[in-house]
Amino acid sequence: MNIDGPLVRYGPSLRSAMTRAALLLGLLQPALLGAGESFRWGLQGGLLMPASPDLKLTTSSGLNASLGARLEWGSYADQTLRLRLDREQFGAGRQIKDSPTVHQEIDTRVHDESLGLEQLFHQERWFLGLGLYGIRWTVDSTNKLSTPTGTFSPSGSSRWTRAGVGLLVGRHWNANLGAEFRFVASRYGQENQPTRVASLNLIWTF
Amino acid sequence: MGAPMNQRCACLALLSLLLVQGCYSTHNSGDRAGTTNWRMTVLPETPSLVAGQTLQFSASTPWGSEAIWSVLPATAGTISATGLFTASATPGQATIYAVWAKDVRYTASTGLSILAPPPPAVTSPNFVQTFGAQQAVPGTGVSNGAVVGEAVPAMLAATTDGAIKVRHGFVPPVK
Repeated sequence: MNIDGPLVRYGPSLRSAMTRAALLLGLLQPALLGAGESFRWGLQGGLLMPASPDLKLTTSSGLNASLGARLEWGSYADQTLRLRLDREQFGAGRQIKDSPTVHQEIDTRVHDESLGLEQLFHQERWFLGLGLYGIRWTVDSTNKLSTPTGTFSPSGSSRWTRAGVGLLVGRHWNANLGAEFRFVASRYGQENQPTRVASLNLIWTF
Repeated sequence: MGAPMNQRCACLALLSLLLVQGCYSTHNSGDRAGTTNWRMTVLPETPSLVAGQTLQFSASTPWGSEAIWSVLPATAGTISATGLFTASATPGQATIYAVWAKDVRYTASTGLSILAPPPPAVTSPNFVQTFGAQQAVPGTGVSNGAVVGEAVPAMLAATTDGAIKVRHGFVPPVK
């Protein structure tokens, strides 16, 4: 079962995202106008850490990993604009609750794909950046309800697309290799629960 | 260098505001374990029905009513994809479970009682079942009646040629 909620359901969320996008694009305008002076591409991959209560419930403390690709435009000597695509896969989460009448286990597996625009400010080998993303969240769930007389165990997948904002800091060791720490805040779920994901990535630039 | 620095400060201040706004509005959601009947409900609540009868259940969430249904124990009856429950012939207790089809973590349930069927109707030719009747003794204020379904003595009336026969319930008057 794959779903997209009706557009009207996300009206306030979309308006909020559009406001954020307009603000960010206004700030990025100087870089956009100067794009084309240099063009590079690269790959990034690393480890994730869910940092919001709901995301911690639906994922695990085990291996959470990300992999992605990006295009970069260096518009000024100390600024870079980059378009970025990432896939993030979280470890499986399990919630267990017992009541006098039923034992409930909810197993979840979360992943997301995000497409975003980031503005980086360079200071020697260090860079600081901010980003705006469109994130497609997917949660695969199994809800197992066990009673002394039987078990009911339905499964399904749910999907939502939400806006996200990010802050990142990184360092280049040389022209091709570097590392970055990124913190992205977004929302997911039918009730728009906040999500926060911290990631540590190795970045290769070609 | 002054302008880029100002721009950086503005960007970081804006982003900090966005992150703070986006991070710290938390609430309990109905997709967690142990939140049965929190965001999703099933109607009717705790109904009773007679063995063999059917009953239509409905589920609701703030976002729609599509549900996946189950009844436990399975021997209590069957429930269709649309929530139509058919009780088995065995009296007892059961629980109807529903999860929201678009996110199966949302759960609702309700209890259910299956009652024994009523005793079979009297079929003796000398008795009929009443549909409600009252008999009064004129001038005395004394009346006599039968409750619905009660078996009472009956009389048979027929036309002289025997073409039409009618069986009447009979309640002796009380004095």
